[in-house]
Amino acid sequence: MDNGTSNSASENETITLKSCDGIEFHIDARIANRYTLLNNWNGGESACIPNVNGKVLEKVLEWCEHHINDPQLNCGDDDSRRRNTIIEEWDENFLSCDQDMLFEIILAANYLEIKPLLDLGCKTVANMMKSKSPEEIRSAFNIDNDYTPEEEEQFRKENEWAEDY
Amino acid sequence: MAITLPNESLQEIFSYIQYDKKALHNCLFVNRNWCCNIIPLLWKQPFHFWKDTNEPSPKLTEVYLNFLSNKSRNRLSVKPYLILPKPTKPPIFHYPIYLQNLDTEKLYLASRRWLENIEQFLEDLDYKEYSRALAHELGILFMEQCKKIIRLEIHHELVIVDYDAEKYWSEERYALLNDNTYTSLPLFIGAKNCLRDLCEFECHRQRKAGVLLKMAEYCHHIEKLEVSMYNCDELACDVEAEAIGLTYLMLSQQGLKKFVLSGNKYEWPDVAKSFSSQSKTLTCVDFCDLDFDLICDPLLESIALLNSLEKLTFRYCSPFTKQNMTSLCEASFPYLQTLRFFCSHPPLESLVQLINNVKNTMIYLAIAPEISENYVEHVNTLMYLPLVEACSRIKVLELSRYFSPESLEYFLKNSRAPIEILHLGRCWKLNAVHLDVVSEYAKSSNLKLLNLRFVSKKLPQKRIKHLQSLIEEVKELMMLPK
Repeated sequence: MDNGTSNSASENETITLKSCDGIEFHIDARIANRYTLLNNWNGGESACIPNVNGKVLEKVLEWCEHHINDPQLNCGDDDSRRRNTIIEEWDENFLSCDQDMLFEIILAANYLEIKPLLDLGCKTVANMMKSKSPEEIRSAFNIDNDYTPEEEEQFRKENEWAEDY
Repeated sequence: MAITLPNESLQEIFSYIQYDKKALHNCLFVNRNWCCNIIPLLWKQPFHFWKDTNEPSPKLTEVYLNFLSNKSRNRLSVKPYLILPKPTKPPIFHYPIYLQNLDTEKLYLASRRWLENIEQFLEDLDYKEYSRALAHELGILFMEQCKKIIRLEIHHELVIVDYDAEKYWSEERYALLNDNTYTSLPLFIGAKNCLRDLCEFECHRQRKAGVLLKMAEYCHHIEKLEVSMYNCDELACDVEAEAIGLTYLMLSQQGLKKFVLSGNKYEWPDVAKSFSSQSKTLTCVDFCDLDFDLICDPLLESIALLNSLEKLTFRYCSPFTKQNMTSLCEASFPYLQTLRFFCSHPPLESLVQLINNVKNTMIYLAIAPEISENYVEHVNTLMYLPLVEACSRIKVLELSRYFSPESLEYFLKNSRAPIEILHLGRCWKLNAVHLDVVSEYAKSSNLKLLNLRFVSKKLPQKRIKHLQSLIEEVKELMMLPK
């Protein structure tokens, strides 16, 4: 049975990707085969990936390489995937970076359509929000409160039901 | 935040906390932008954050009451003592438009809890009547204002939490069941728009013909359909009309994937024929409580045409005979992975033939080995062996009702199946000897999970602990007293 990992490229084949700041990466062609957008930039000299700098691209490719043999995600089980917030140890360590880098990885994964990495990044941030008060979340993500006190009061009343039980 | 994530990414992140009410609530108050992204998630299924033991907060109902039309308010104000709150300020968001998951039973409970919470004295009967009236008006509100309902459950109107069997079945109760209540949602104005993208539909109310016909008209994208068709003369059910409604509903779908049908004896020829219209997409069929014809049953014959089936379940269905199983046994199910006869007993020979046809793909089998006379005489005889041999590839075995330790031992000892999961839940007479058999099997097999849910509390804990030392996971919650 096809587990979705079959690639037409062989193990020894490599392709070249260039980040927006001109850093070149020679990667296993099978990685590019899995994520179509990466394949599109296989151009060596002239082509480079806009919006993703070398530091971030290095992290993204490190993740792709580690997960090269993972089965492809089944698009149909979106809901159960979102209910599962458990993160494997390697991935947890991988994303134990500073917050800017974490967000950059999410943006790059979104841009490059690397869905499993995008999911992982989003799940990590979601887990960071859990069990935190609004003030703690603001402090953790450096966000300003732009509610007026009256607005916040009315809003609190309208959504009070979500605090119950 | 030095780097600001766009709303698209924020929404993706928030989707991972969409079932966590507390986390959603906390994120609401972070700032306005987060709030705008969270509100659709929090109000998508507000009735469903409460599990069965708890019920929707009266404060939730109170917010929705702000959006009732003047017509609704006038209708409710006719009821003595019922005074609806008037909003001092218009709500910040138009909350009803976000609702996507609606369940009439929860709608009733939300109405009821709100009524119980206000400081007005009502007789018990008034509570029920007013709860229904309030649920009705809220139902009208949702059908008019929701943008799109994805999941709808319509339950029997009289199933209520504090139900009293005597009153429940009394004639005065039946008199309350009319066709213009909160369980008639698809008949309300606006239903056509808000139900057109419905993906999941459950209908358990009595006298459902009109509802099913309307749904057939409005909804063509249902993927999961569950219908109960119990014939109840006292409620003046029009059995033929309901079967026609279900037939039309089936025929009007463009890609039904899962179908669950429960009901007592009916004439189903048209319903059965309508199955073939979904043969390309229908992957899961679940029949419950159905009575089949002895010789030739149209429902069983219709299943034989569903070549895309991955899961086929019979629960409490009977009778199965060699004759009515013929078409099923001869059918081709190239994708069938799960075959469940839960408390249902096909003849051994037919069962073996069916399993042999699907043994290359089937990994989950449920049988009720000994409750039936079909099997009891064959245990430990050569006739039982073909069943064991046919199951050579299954990874999940589920046994229901009663079976002896000897038959369990016989099956496990002789089977070459790589069983990883063994479900013995709801096996009423499970005893210590059964557990010893499983322990022996666990020592030399790849058994990873044993399900002992809903079995007797009197099972010796020492043996269960021993099993836990041998098997990765033993589920033993919610044991029932003997």
